[in-house]
Amino acid sequence: MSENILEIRDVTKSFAGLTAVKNCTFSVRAGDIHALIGPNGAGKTTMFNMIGGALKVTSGAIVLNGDDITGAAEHERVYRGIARTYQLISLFNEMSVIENVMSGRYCRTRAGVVGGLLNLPWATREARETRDKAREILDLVGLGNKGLEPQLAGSLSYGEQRVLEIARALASEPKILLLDEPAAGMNPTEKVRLAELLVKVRDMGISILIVEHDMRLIMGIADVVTVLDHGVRIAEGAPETVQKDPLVLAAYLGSAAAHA
Amino acid sequence: MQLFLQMVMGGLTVGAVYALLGMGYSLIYRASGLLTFAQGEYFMLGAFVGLTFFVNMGLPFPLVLILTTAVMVAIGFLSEKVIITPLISRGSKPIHIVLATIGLAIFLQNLAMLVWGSRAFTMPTIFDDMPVFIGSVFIIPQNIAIVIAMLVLMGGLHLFMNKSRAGLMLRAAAQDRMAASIVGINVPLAIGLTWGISVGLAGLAGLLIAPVHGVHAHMGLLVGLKGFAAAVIGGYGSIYGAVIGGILVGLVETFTSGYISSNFKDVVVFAFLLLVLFLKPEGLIRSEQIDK
Amino acid sequence: MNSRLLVYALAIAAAALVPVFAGNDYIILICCLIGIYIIVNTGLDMVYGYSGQITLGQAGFYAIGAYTSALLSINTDIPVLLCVLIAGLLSSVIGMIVAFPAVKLVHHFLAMVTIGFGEIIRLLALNGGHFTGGVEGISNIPKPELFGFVFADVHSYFYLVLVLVVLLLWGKQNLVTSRIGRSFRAIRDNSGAASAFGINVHHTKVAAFTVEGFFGGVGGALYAHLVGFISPETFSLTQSVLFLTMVLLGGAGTFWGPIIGTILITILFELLQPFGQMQMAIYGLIIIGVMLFMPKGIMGMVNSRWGSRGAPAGQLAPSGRSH
Repeated sequence: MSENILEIRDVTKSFAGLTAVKNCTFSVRAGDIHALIGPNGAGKTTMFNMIGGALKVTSGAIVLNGDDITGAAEHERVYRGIARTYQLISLFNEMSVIENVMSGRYCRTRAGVVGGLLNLPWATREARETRDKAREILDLVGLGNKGLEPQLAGSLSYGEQRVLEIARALASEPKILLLDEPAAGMNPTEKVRLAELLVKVRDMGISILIVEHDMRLIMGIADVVTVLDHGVRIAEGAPETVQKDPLVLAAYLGSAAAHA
Repeated sequence: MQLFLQMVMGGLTVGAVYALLGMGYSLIYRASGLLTFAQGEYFMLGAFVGLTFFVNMGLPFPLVLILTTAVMVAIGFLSEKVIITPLISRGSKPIHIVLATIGLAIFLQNLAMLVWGSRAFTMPTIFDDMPVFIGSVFIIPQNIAIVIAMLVLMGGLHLFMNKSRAGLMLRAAAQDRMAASIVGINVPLAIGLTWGISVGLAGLAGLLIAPVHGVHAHMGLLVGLKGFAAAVIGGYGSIYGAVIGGILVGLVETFTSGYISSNFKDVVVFAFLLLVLFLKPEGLIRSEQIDK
Repeated sequence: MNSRLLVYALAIAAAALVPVFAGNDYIILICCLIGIYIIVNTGLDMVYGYSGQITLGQAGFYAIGAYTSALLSINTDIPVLLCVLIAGLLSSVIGMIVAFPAVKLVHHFLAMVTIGFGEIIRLLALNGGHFTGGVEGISNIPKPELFGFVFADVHSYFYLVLVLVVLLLWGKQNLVTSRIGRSFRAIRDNSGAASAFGINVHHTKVAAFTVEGFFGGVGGALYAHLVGFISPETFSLTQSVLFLTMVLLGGAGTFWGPIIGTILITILFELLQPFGQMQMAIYGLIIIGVMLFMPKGIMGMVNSRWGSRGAPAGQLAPSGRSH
């Protein structure tokens, strides 16, 4: 086990001539909450999609736990320990809350078509274990024991849906969790609970790479912060140091000025 | 060699029919992003409407051509307004629209049987029945007329779409509804007209082929599917692609009949279509239909 | 949970009593057909309702099942019921083979490929010469037999079909709430997120078509042994459309939807029978009407009105397809 759970090596992504991420390099230490911040259009979500495998890199390498996964298909990466949430909530809306979490365990379970069709003993046993595990995770994230289990995911409140996405990701037993703006649309109480949850998850040994606009949240829980601007890494370090970095200030102020 | 040329001519004739239908599929796809399964039935309807004008009413052929086209364009326009627009405004999924057009196809086919009965009719040709010999190849004048008509229609459509104001309006509406309506184009009218033109093309194809193949209520289904095959093989959404695809399908069909057996011509055409969809989905057609 | 079991038990009991109250054999024959259609539509619903893939090739599987079982039972000594099973499995394997390249396509292109598949099967049956009997088809297909008992009349055949319907619906319900069933619904609801959670979207679609093939094949085989005669015209595109209409009217992606849709459309067809040609014209209009006014089907409407949001997970799949 290497010290870095995830290494981004010189990664570039271009879309038809436009460069979204340019020669980006950074590493996530095992057991850290690592924040990826930057103004709008900095390339954070593109980076996430490349790590998760939804997008292919133009050049460079992505290394998970010492293994090069640059060429691995999206669905293979979750087996290797990458799980994610989405900026735009992407739950299975017509499935119940518990089934969404159970879907997250797809990659850790094995029952096939015949086992499912005939309710064969091992499939039943596995289904029961999956359900128990899903309940544990719902309890962990604070959605358990509220009678929410059988409701359709699409019927939950916005904040609950965000948390449910994290629960589904946790169900896949990830080594690293990619969270794309998990606090977006949450009220202050929900944000506090989210911060507590993320610390709890980190303490379970799961590394977290988080993109988030809420700086108070980030500064409160992040161990390391990487700053992107226009697809380029412009700073990295502890939250306090990064906050004072003149380049970072310029990037944010510049973008704020541009918006004004 | 003689047989070969004979078959090329036969292939071009049926190919022209598939091309006319295929052009309709492509136009509709560009205008509404949709597939209609009623195209084959419009083809059948065109033949019956033409037959009624020509045989039952004894109208002169040029007038029959104009009237049939007008009736079919009107039917296409109405179909769009009565079925497609309401479906789209209700936020229906593509499968619902596909099924609705299948429902329409079933309705039209059986309506035709109610009106005209289920027997086959022969349509007299305005040309001489006698084959013309060109070198050692004899050719039925009607076949040449179909191919020429297809070329004329294609050229006309090209001019209409690219040179006329109305064509510009249709193209703009197909490309970007929002932008088109902002610049003052009546988008619903344009989309309806596009359907009208597509259905008109199918109806004309039916009228033109009627003297060769006869007229009956079941003539549409297979031709409709093959017209779709033509559109896909040539490049779905492209009008000229549909022409190339139509001719290809026509040739494949005729050569299979000639060299293998006419029993298997349809199997081979469908296999050809599946092969294209499986092997060259990006090469021959646009990429939208591919799920990563 | 218990009330649900009670509903199932009552439904089975009611079905079992049908031959007792049916006035004549014709009605029982229709009920046998309803049972067979329910089997076929259950498979269709796996692909359409649960996995969200368009399919119009159901008649192809139905034909493969019918011809396989008919030919096997006529030409070999294999017991008829085993022929039915083999027919289902063969149809399933063909479903898998066809699906492999086909499911890369979406929307009407998938519709077209499945139509092409169905038409190719029908045309092969039509032009198969002596082997498939051509236009005339195959007749004198033997009746199934179990421990010396021959299901010769429609009464006994009805109970055979009923047992298989119950078994296969049980299987469907198991499957859709299993790991694989969840992956079906996951790719339907959000194929991007499904892929990010380790679900191989391509393989999952193939699996759905494989299951569809099995149900369609078994249905076709049962049809062949019921009527004792098959010919290519039964297996046209119209038949595929009929199956899909049943599922859509009842409500895709639900337990009761395909059952209700099948019963209603079959009865409707019988009622329209006296109208001759009008029958099919009206049927065409009904399809358009359903698409316009109740695209989620009867169960979709029932669920959105009386809100079965609280459908217990693992007991009943959530209702209707959305958006």
